[in-house]
Amino acid sequence: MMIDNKFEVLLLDDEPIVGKRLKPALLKLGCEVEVFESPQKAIKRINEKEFDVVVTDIRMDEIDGIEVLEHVMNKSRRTKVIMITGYAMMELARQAMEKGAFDFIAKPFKPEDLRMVIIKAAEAQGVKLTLSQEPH
Amino acid sequence: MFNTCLDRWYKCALKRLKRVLDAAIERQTIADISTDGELTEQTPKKPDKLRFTIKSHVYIGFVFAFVIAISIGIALVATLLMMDRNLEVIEVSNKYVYHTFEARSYEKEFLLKGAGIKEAHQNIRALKDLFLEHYGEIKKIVGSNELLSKIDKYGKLLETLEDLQAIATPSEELSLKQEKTKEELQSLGGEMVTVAKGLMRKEQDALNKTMLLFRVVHIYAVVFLILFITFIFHLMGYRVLRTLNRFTVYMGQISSGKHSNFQSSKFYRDEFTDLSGVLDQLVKEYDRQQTIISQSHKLRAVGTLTAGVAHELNNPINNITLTAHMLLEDYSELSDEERLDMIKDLIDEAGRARLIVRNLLDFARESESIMEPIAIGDVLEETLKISGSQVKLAGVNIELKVAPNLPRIHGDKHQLQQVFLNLLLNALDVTLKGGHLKVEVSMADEDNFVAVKVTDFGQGIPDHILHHIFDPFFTTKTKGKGTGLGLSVSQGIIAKHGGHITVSTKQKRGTTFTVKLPITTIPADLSRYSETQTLLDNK
Repeated sequence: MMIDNKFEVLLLDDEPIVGKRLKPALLKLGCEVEVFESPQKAIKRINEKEFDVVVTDIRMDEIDGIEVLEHVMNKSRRTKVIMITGYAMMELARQAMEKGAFDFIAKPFKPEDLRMVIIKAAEAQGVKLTLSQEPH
Repeated sequence: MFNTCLDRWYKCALKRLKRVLDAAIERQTIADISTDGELTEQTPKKPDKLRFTIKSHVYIGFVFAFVIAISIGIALVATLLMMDRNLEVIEVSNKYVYHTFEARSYEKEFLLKGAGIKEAHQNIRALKDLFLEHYGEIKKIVGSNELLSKIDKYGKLLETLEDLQAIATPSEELSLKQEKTKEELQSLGGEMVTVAKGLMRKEQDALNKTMLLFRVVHIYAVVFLILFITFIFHLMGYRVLRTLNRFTVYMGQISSGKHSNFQSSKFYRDEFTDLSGVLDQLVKEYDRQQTIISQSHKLRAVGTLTAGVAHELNNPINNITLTAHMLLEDYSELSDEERLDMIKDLIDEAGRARLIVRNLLDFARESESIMEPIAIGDVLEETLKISGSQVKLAGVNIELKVAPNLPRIHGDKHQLQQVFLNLLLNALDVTLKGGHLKVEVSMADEDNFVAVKVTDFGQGIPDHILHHIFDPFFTTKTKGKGTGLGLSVSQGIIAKHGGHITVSTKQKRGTTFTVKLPITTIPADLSRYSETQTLLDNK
């Protein structure tokens, strides 16, 4: 994998701990990770830059994950969007899949679970990610 | 795999919730039994009270009236008999007077014409017979045998006169004797007439007296009987009507939700005591049923909330999962500081989860009804907290406006929370995602009432449904979503607090439910403050 062509992931969840803990977990995959707690800021960033994968929580206060998904889909069909859902939101998850989400992952999940989904998403884009034991 | 894990966790949580609720319900039933126990302790007191039933009241009244009527009858018959006897005596004295007069007129005829002595004798004999026949009555009036001796003497004088008349040879001595006898006879005759007249007069007086007595007895007896019967019936009517009025008042209180005790302070027991006992039982049973319905509905509300709560819980659980896994994964590479930070996060997130569950359990728990002065604004804030996750899930914005310096109200915090939760959940159901609700707390336009207004901007309630919304088991929600008990239970709770729920709705504009609650007139519980004061003093 080339240094200037790193696999880029945007992680959006309004729970600060999610970003704090998942960032090191995803870094181990060798991807570039940007973490956001505010959907507005994340959308702003999405406008600036095309990410390989966007991981977003569905339920957030101001803008919900479905809107983020729609925004990403409009911007770049290439980007894979992974939705994080809470319990009792299967209907929303189904909606998200219809709207083009790559996959969804239900809370509570293990870091490994998300890594598996991201590896799958990378494979779909022809990139092979492997878990390195050492972070950079 | 996660879904099954999640399902298991969810089911487990629900089971725990149910256990807590069951335990609470059981406690309630035990409390019920213990109050029943108190009742049975009280029952031995009851026989101390004299039992005076309405039935015996009626019987006693009837027997009294009957006895009085009979004695009046007897008195009337007695006076009638007395009058009869008087009349009889008058008849006798009439005959007596008649015979006396006859005797005297024949005596005169005999003295003038020398004839008629035989008839005079006959009359005297008749007079004698009459006297002997009615000896008792005449003696009672005249008082002695004097009359009889007078009659006898008169008869003898007549005979003497007859004898003297029969002597053919007239002589001076004879005519002298004749004159003397005549004089004696005339004076005796006069006396007899006087006696006869006296007899007549006396009898007439006696008859008049008896008749007067008869009239007086008659009038007084009837008046007394009427008064007595009126009194008895008035007493009973008063007793029955007063009790009925009392019952009406109690029934009114029950229907308005205030349940007071039926037992009266009367010193005796009667059918109404039995009835009020039964009614008390009925009200108690009704209360118990109401509690069960209210509780089952609360459980349903909790069920509605569960999805939101489960979602809300997932955030801390997710944080714990992620942090714990990362701690496990990177344990050896992390600095002590990072590890401590992660452990602190774990503790914080566990606390957050605990708080969410505690809030819900606090609401769901079957708690004893504690009426206390409460700030209505706080109750609404807590209600919003409980329903917060549900509200977020529905994507609805709730605007809570509480007027400052509202007086406290007297009520049960948990029950009122249940009412407001019902109203909020109903409002949420008709609000589209991204919509908003308004909750306002202010003084009501009615004096001494606080009003809580829950307004949604949904479709409004159609007229044909509006009449039924407070009916039990009436629901417009799909099967399994609503019990149809929310508003009916809420209305019951608010009525118990002395308030009322009203609804105003506009088609396609929205609906406002207004809950009015009376402000408290009971002073704040100062004992609590003094308690904290002593605690502080001890410190």
